[in-house]
Order: sequence, then structure tokens, then C-alpha cells
Amino acid sequence: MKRYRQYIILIGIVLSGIAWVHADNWWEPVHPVQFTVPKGWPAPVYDFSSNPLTKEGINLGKQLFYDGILSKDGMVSCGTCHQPFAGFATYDHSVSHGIDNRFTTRNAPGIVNMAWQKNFMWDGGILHLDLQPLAPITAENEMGETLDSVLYKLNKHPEYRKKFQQAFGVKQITTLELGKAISQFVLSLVSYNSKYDRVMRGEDQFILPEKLGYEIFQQKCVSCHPPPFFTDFSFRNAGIPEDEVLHDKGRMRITGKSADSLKFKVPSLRNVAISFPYGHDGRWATLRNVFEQYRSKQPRNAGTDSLLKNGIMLSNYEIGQLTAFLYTLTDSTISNNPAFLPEELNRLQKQTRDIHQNK
Amino acid sequence: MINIRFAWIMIAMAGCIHQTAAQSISGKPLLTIQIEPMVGAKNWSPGDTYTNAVGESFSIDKCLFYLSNFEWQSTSGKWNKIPNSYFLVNIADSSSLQIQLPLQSKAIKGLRYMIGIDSVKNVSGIQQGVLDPARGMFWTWNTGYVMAKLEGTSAVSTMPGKKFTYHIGGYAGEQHVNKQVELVIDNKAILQQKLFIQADLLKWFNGEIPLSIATHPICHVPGKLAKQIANNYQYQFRIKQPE
Repeated sequence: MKRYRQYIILIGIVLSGIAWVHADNWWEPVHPVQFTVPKGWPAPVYDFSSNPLTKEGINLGKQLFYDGILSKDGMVSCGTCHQPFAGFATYDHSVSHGIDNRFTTRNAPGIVNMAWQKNFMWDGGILHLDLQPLAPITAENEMGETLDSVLYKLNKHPEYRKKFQQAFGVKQITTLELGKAISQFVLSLVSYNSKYDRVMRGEDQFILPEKLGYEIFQQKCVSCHPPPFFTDFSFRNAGIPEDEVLHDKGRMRITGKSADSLKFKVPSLRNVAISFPYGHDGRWATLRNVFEQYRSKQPRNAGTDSLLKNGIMLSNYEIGQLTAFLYTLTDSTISNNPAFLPEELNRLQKQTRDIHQNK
Repeated sequence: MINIRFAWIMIAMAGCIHQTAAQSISGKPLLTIQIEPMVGAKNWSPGDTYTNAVGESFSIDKCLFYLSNFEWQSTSGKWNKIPNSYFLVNIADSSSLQIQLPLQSKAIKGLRYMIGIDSVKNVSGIQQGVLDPARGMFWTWNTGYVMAKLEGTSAVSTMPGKKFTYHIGGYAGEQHVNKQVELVIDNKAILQQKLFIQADLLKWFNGEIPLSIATHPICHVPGKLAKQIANNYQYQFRIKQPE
């Protein structure tokens, strides 16, 4: 009997020892998610080993993405300007809006395929995806917050505390986990299911105007907007005049070099049909306006990119075909995917009958 | 029975090993660097007024800077790197004015460190501890650390509140402001493993190109002015000889 008691005490000590050692850092990312690189695409730039995707991390990132808690007045979230139905760009407003009815200085671009991007923002000032959300959070005309305050609010929030613990095994939320969580959601936005992609995979066919537009695109647009991202990620001066109010010098603000004056990152054309208006400050309302700008013979500024110096020759007919092709870059698995929408919206939509789908 | 006894012994031993491991970390020889914020020959005090080389009077409210990549020189002349040595000094926070360095030797001839943060840490995503962007020494819109920051007021400033603010950063190419400091150390300066280093903030203004608050009340971007100020402040450190 005495012997049994000793065994039991011994097992008890060992178990409580294990529990004590692991109490602080016992954690397992419960559901790892594999990041899939579409066939034929290059390897991603983002280092997934530093932030392995998990279901918990992506869901947490999505909740943060749509939560005004990141802003000073609780009203502005990432999703306010990066709207899902516009391919996660700002829809129908020239410049994006921040707190207190303030205008920002630029039109928020779509944020799909971010895993392949080296730098972020129209001026490329941000060098790591995890760091990107910190800029809008702290900009006084965007979310107007301080990191200290955001972290304070999150650490006080029982639900977020629990979810950060599940996703990253931390008791105290720091900037690092905040950045990683949002990155996880954004990284999951991979746009490769547009009609264009299906045609390239042999699963669909272009109709005639799309096919003709694709051929024109190959001749006149592809040097700056090459597939599969439809941008070469370079900074170029498109020859458009500086806005007299904003005085946005683009890339020059980052490098301090006058040669970079009025250069902006070549935007991706994925989901272009649903993400109007266009240009870094949303100055063009329609695709037609963009084509008119590019084919106009107006004098351009001194630093205009050599490819655009003399404008691009485009007939009305070509503009029509090109437009048809650009429409094939719309990816409804991005713009209309419940997995990327806020949970509350999904619940609401389930309750509402969709008359167009006759359900 | 033997097995049970053996298990008891193992548990006891595990406890002992755990103890020694904890001791050896804290048992490493430490050199404490005590930084004394000065303005010229006087100790810095908030609200006190000082005068720079161009004759402008000013007071200093705030000054923070990163010191990193410490190296120490043994008596044989060999330089030894201290891995992961990153410190954020805030003149208004006495705990941050003490820097503890783990050193393998008690006799040292020299000390080297960087004012600022190396480019690797600038481009490797979000860091933690003193390098956490939430510490307020990071530019979110143009990735990179603010290496050093000096703020105060002066009657000659044209900014609201008569303020001047110098946020010095830039780690790449021509914008590079990181400065290497090398101090020769006489072992008499180290008393009870403590070394006093004075940080003379007047050096921000007085240097190769004197900084005028009236001309330049602010510097918030990397570039020419930031480099000029960094050139000045790189000479702010001096060893204080014990009396």
C-alpha cells in the first residue's frame, strides 16, 4: 500500500511539474493553413516562416481588419477604405476618408496579392507587410490613434485577449502580434480566379472583344502592367500634373531625390473595373478618363516616364476592346466571398433573401 | 523500491539543475554604464535655459536616443561584440539611463557603440522590446527608426508654442545617420563595475555646422539636415573621470 502511495505522489509531482513549466507558454496553433502559390506564379516575398498562417490568426486578422477599435473615434477600420466589393480598394471616392470627416491625400489601392509585394503604399515607403497597418492607424487624417492606445484597448478586451492567446500564444498583445494578425488576413487575399485567370488555365474562353483587347494590352500596356500581378511594382511618373492642394510628390517624399518627384507605384489592374476612381489621388472617375489622359498629346512634366512621354496611341475602337479585356480581371472570389467579409455581415446576409439568385 | 528511490533522486537533481541555470545568467560579470544628461558643463534639468553656439537660448523637454551594437575591447586589444545590445535612453527616465552590459572580463580598454539602429533591424518587420514601434521612435509612413530625438522650446522658434523638434533618422544609402562612437577607457574610470558617461546635449547644436533654432526649428525627415545634426551629436559622449 505504502508503495502505491509513493507512486501516486510521484506521478502527482511530475504532472504538476509539467503543468508548472508549461503554464506560461503552453500553446499550439490549432489549425495551420497552407498558403497556396497559384501555378506559374513566382515565389512569394513574404517570409511565412516568421508568421505561419493559421485559421485562428486569419480569423483574428479579419476581425481586426473590420473593427473600428483601431481608430481614435471607433468609426474607421481598415475595411472602411479597403472595401471588399471594390477589390479591397476605396470605391467611388477620390481620396479615402479618415476620422473626423477628414480627407486623406490618396485613394487607397486594392490589397490583393500582397504576399508578392516588397514595399507598400503608393510611394513604397513601407518595407514590410507587418508594418503596413501601423501607418494608417497612427496617421492623424486616417485612424488618428497611437499604438500605445490601440494596444491598451486590445489588452483590455477579453475576447481579443483570448483570440491573440489562441493565435499567437501571448498573454500580452504587442505591436508584433497586431501586425502579424492583420498580415495573416491580408495574405489570404490572393486574386487568381478572374475570367482572365480561368482563360489562361484553359477553363474558359475570351469573347471576341476581350480577345482583341488582350492583344492590344500585350502591345501597349504590358510593359508596366505585366501579369500575373498586372504591375511591375516600379515607381513611375505618368506625366500627370501635381495637385495644387495636395502637393503630393510621391516617391520623392521617401527617397528625398528630386528624380523621384511625382513618381507613384504602378497600380495593379486586378479588379480594376470595380475599383474606380483611378490614380493615386483618385482624380479619374472612369477608365475612359484614364485612357484619354494616356492618349492626350498635352505637354507633360519634365520627369515623365519615357514610355509615356509622347502618350500612348489609342483609337476609340482600341479603348473599347481594352475595356472589355480589363473587365476580365474582376475576381468575384475576392469581391464577393463570405470568407473575406465581416462575420456580422455574413449573418445578416443569410437572413436576407437574394432575389437575383432566386433563393 | 529502487526505481522509486531513483525517481526521487532524479526529481531532486532536476530541481538543482534548474537552480544553477538561473544563477549562471545573473552571475555573469556586468558593467553598468550610467549616463548623465548634460548641457555643456551643467547637468540637464527640465525648464533650465541654456545657450547654443549661435547665441540662442533654449530649454530641453525631451531627449531620447538609441544606443546599440556594443563592443568592448579587452586589454589585449581585441574587440568583442555584445550580441543583441539595443538600448533606448530617455533622459527623463532614470531607469533607462542605466545600461547593463554582460562582459566576460573586468579589465577593458575601450567601448564602441552605435547611436542608432542598424539597417537590418530597420527592414526586418516589427521588432519587440525597446525596438517596438509603440515606443514612439519609429516612422510608420517611411519605414525606419527615429535614431535620436530632441525637443524643447526657444523664443527664437517660429513654430507653434515656440517649440523645436528634431527627429533624426535614416539608415539607408545617402540618408544614413547612424554614428559609431568609440571611447577609450582608463580602468580607473570604472569603479565597482560602474562607468559614468556624460551625454552633452549641447553638442546637437554646436558642431561642424552649428544648428540654429531660428533657421531650423524642426527636422522630421531623413536627409541633409538630419545628417548635419547627427554629425554634431555624434560627439556628445564623454567619459566622466571619478573625482
